[in-house]
Amino acid sequence: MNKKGDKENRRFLIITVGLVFLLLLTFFFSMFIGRYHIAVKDVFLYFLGQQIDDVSGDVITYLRIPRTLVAIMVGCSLSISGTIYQSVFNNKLVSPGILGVSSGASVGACLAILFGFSSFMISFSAFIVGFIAVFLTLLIARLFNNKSNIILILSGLAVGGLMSSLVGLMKYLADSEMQLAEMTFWLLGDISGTTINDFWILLPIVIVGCFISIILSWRLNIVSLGAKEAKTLGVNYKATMAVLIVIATALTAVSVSISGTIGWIGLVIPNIVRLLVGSNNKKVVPLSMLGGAIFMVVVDMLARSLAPNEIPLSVITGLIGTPLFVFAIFKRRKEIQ
Amino acid sequence: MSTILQIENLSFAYEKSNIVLNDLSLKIQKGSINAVLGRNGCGKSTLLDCIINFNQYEEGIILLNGRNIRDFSNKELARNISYISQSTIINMNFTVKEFISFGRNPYLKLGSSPSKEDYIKVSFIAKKCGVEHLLEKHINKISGGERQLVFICRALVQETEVLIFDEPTASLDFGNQYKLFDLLKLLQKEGKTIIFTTHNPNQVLELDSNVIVLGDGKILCNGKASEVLNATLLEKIYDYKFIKEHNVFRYSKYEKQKVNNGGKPTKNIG
Repeated sequence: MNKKGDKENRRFLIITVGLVFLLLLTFFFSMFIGRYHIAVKDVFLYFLGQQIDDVSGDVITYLRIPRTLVAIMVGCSLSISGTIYQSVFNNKLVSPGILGVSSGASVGACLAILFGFSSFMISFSAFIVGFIAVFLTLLIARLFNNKSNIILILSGLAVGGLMSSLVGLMKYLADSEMQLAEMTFWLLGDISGTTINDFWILLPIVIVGCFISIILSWRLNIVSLGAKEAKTLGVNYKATMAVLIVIATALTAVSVSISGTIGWIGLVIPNIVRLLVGSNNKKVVPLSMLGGAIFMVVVDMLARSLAPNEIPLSVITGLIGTPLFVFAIFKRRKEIQ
Repeated sequence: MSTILQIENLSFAYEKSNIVLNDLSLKIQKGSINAVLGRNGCGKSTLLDCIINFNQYEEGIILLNGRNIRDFSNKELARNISYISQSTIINMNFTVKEFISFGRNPYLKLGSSPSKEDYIKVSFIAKKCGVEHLLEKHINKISGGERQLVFICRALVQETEVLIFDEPTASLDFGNQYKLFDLLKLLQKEGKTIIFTTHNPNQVLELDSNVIVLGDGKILCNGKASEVLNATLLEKIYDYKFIKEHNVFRYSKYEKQKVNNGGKPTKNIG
């Protein structure tokens, strides 16, 4: 048995090292893939500190590095958030928006677009309203005075529905020339206009979120068994749940506020990782971070290179995510009752 | 034998109008096996939930080795009392080894996971309960009986003095029920205190453990099964006539004939 345990640990280590290598590779590819052609040699020279032509240097410094770093942060955040929500609610089909954070952020962003605010205010408004939506979900669930997590999910659905209606209303009120297009693009996810400042906004929240989720990853397994089991196994269920929900919500809210709503990542990546290493969150949490980051960098590369214009990110995540998700269901078909 | 668990004047209600436990007092002896018996909805599981400090009761006190269980931290209580539920839904694909190792959580610091020593304990207990061959399998891919044994392994890995089982025989076949009882007796010999709920008085009679009979939120009787369980008591609990034959309770022939005749009694009373 110990030999088998060692073999499993070795497998985890190999997958981790493999994914780190893959992330570095995709980061490198992301520097020369895009509409403006940059030679591979120039990218090497750039990172070695050598002189390359000004335009290529500027494209790498001001466009490709920021958006790739933002893609890494967003992919990482949404994947961890999905992993946490799925474990907390003991349901592999839960996505990061389950408590209404994404739909709330959409309302915040559309509202800011409607009032003609700057892109920073759009992000800020999305972040704040995202949190307000989750707070509303928790408040409604509390009114029922029921310990079941299903009440929380149902409240999230109700708030999500309300927020979708508000988004619809704002689209209806929007000026069809500019605002409606901006809203539509935001709602489908877009990081084409991101700057290095967006990365600096994301970085502290993502670092804290990753750190706490790694610290709590083992306990996340026990929390997934439910309140009674967790308590009898020595876990302070309420406090742990509160920390995990705040972390997952903050990660989703900050990502969505910068990139717009991006579907599928938080749902698909943790499930693919579970296919590889099982459900132990000690392994699933770090691998989801890496997997989500890689997936998002690849999606962003495709979004900017497949067509003459930028393709919205959710379109690509949906096109790649759907078959991956169907594959994950197929592999687990015998467990679905 | 000394008292390990003492419940004094415990009352609990899910809603104010629906009192489930009413001024209940009880002493559990160290190293004893205790079966909690009673009809559906009489408060068996509620009582267990109070003992594990899950139900927030407003009246009464529960003492573990003389100390109020509410003064224990979650981890401290989990080092003293382990609990096995019938209704745990596991949607994640944990391996049996991972699942049993969850029992080591009360001994782990924040941020740590089970060590090699912990996994050695897991293997040792799994071997003792005869589930060593299942360690690498997924918890949702084993049979109901095996799953029950795995849950017991988790409780044993928790190294607690008191083990609480909510209807441990509910999903077990005939053979596995007796294997479970053998295991309970073995644990009793090792000094563990066991409390479990059941719907089958005959099992309690065969085990000849201590029995706590609940009814209307109170304890109807508490004592050695062979001494306190009788047909009159069972009739009072289940509102049906029983007779005792060869140390097994059966339903009364009279009642059987009554059922067969659309509720009208026939001539003889069996």
